[in-house]
Amino acid sequence: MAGLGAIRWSPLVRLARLGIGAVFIAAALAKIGDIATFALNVHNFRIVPIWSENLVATTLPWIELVLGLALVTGIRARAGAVLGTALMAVFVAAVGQALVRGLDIECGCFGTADATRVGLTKLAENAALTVAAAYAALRLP
Amino acid sequence: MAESSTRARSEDGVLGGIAAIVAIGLALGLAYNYLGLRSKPSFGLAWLAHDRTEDVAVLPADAADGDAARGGFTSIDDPMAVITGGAASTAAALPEIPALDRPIQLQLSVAKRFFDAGGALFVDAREPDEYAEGHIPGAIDLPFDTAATDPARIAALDTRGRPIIVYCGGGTCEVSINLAWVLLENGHDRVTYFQAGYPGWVEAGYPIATGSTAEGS
Repeated sequence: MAGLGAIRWSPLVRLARLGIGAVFIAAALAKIGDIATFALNVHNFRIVPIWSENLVATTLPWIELVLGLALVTGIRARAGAVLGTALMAVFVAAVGQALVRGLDIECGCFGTADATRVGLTKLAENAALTVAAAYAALRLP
Repeated sequence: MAESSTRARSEDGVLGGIAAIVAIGLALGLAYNYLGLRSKPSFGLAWLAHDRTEDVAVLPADAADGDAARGGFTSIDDPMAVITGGAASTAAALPEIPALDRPIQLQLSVAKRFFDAGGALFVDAREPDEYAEGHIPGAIDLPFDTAATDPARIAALDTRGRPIIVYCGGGTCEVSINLAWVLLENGHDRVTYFQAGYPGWVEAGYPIATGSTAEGS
């Protein structure tokens, strides 16, 4: 049943898997280098309880790193894609609520390397990544 | 039949995989930051338990010289809140700004007293185009994004021993407090800001200047 379709689609699945993996690894490494700033970014989004902000800032980049590695290496790639989709959905929601509340804040998505402020562009970027991750999650074996 | 059971098994594998990824990520993150694998700066457990709501100190409007030293500071839940109230002090002496490890929020009227006396270095955290349209006379333009990526600009700030007063666009603008943190992290102390920002300054009818360079600094 999957025969022809699988052959035709597999390069795209690989592209999504490697692309999303690379994005997560890059984002993770940028944040790991400066958690203090990332903690402030997390605070600015005002979505997690204040007591947990530093914990989130400490561990989230590492989860991103491990799931990025899972996607790139192909080890537990489907789990990585599912978790990546969930995380991207959370990021879309985070950016969306910031826009709705009118917060003029820095994304912190790629640490201090990316100084873009939260806006529609970032929302679209995150939505596109979510779709790509979801696609990989559905298609990966 | 065979396909659906394979599918079910693979779903179990995915959940296990997700759990493994989260567990490994949590373990690495905690180990890296709290077990000393990260040498400098090591944040430690104290940082994990740090309560960010107490990050900003507030100097009351009626603060007179020496109040701060006597503990005349309060903490606020939301560093973005504009603090008002309290009769503005008419004391001739400027309130003393102590060296704290966190930004101190001033009221607009207090910032104005520092301005009148030339007792502080004003730093505009907004972008150069906004600065050129209008700023507090004598203020240095140091956009937060620039400062965060180019510490040389911070090192070049000459406070001449005065405290720093950072401001930005008022309202929900938070680059002033973010810049205040960057300044503190790069060796400055006595860093203050006022959340009313430039719009509040204009609204109060205080003097402004235009152009892209600081005058009289």
